Amino acid sequence: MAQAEPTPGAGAAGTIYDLGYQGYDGPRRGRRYALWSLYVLSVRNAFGIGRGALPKVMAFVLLLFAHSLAIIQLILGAVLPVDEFEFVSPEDYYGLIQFILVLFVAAIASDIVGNDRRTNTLALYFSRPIERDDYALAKIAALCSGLLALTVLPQLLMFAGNALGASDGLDWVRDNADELPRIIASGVLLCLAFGSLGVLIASYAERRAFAMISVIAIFLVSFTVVGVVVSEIDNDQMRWAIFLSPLHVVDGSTHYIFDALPAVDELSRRGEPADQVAWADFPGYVWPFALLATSVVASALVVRRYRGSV
Amino acid sequence: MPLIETNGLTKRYSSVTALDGLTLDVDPGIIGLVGPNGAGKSTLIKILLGLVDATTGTAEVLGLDAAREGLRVREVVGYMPEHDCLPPDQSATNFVIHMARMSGIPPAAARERASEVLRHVGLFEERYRHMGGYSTGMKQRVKLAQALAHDPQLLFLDEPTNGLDPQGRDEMLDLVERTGHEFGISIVMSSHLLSEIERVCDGLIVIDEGKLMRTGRIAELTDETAVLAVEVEWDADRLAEMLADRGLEVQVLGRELEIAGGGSDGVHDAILEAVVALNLPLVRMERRRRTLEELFRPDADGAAEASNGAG
Repeated sequence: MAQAEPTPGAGAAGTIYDLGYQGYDGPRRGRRYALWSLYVLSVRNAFGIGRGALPKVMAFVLLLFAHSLAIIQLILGAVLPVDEFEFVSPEDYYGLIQFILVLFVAAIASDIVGNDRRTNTLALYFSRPIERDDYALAKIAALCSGLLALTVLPQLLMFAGNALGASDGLDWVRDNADELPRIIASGVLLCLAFGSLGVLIASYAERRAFAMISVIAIFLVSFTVVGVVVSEIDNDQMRWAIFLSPLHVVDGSTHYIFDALPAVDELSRRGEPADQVAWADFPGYVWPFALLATSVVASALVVRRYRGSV
Repeated sequence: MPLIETNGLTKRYSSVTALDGLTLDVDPGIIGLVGPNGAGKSTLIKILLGLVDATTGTAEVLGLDAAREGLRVREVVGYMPEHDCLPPDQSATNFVIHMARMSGIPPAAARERASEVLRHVGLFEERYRHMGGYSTGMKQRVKLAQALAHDPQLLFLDEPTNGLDPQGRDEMLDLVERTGHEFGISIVMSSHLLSEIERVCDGLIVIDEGKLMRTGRIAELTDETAVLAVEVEWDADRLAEMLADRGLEVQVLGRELEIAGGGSDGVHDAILEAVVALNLPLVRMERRRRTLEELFRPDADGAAEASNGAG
């Protein structure tokens, strides 16, 4: 067949070249492999890999901010001539970077699930050998994994830095070994809850800007309102309101897991979120379970959302 | 093994009946799926892909139950939707590789398949560019390529020529025909243009309001009619007069005459004698074939016969 006229631009697309067609007789790996592919691509997209410059820069900046406290801890620990220096304690870490985490969820969730919906690529995914539930869960897993890099990773970095800064590193690790499972448990619970809530909100918000604003609004407005409610109102029903604020529940869960829930006194209701959590006066184990329940319910709602769409 | 077999397939949404007792038995080949908007074409394709459950009735694709074995159906079937469905910030290559992997093709093979199918649809250097800058024609090619990425046995193409200019339409139809006839991949292609269906398809399914209106091989549907078409250089009117005098039913259409009763030899002889007697230059004489368009004219009396013949 004749070569396309050498017109510039889209000219070459005008002609169909006849070079035959090869079939495929190799293996077909099926559903689990397809899901793994979807998960890996979504995690890569979360950090801007394989996409434009802007998503890369944004993800990198947020990642850097999330690590900044750990990095400062490392530097100060190395420079200051004290044996055990603690600039930030692990149970307070997430509270200090919670706005970074919310921004990350807002920015990434709308990319991870919103793009497929906006560009109608969803129809192509659903015509593949996966189920709709698989798609929903792979997307939640991708956002949760992305969040791990902003939560558990800086905590581990800080742990390693503290060990290196101590006069006897091995001794320090032996004394503080119980921190490792606490870091992982509190971080994973946070990621599950934030990840599933983020995907849930983004799966309902069609436009990117709307998705981002919704995520930020839901996390921060609930945080502010619940903070005011708990501090200003003193009756038994109102303390339940605290479960409406994911950031408060995360604080409660993390402090419980690190065995660091503050003591309650009359001042705590106007104090830090962790103090307010203590003021609400629920048994400590309630917080991690509440976080887990939030994740399960949010994931179930996401699955339901995708079952309904064709 | 039939390509598609449905039995009493019915799909009701709360207020609408999208499919109404559809029973089909379709053989491999390129099949045209025709019907007005809202006829149930998309619902039928979604049920056959196992994405939507039928209210009642059964559907089998390549011998697999679409409702229970949807995953296995989707492993060997490709789907090209009607609407735009490509992420603008990815290159065609990366996208098709990803879609091949989503169909279970291992990474190295997925890369090979992507370049194979993109070459097949006629995308070359531009396949490394982001798809946001593609023309409609290029996007349609990528949509076809992703449907072919896993070398399916059956393709569902929903309005593949939608939005294309006449040349792009021609090229897409050529591509569909080659994919179907040379590479042995069966195709179900929906279109609202009968001329397109007639050009590339072997078989036809016509649905309207969820009901099957007609199905069969195109060759049977456009079978020869009993009408003889006779074309002469000039004096068609005189020839018509003479034939009418001999008791034949004649219609004049410019230089062409349509004469009923072409089945019997006597009519042929009568026409030849008249042409010789008038000393007219005969251009052609042939049995008329129906076009698909004619079948769909509501007043076409041939329609009922054709439907009986094909049913």
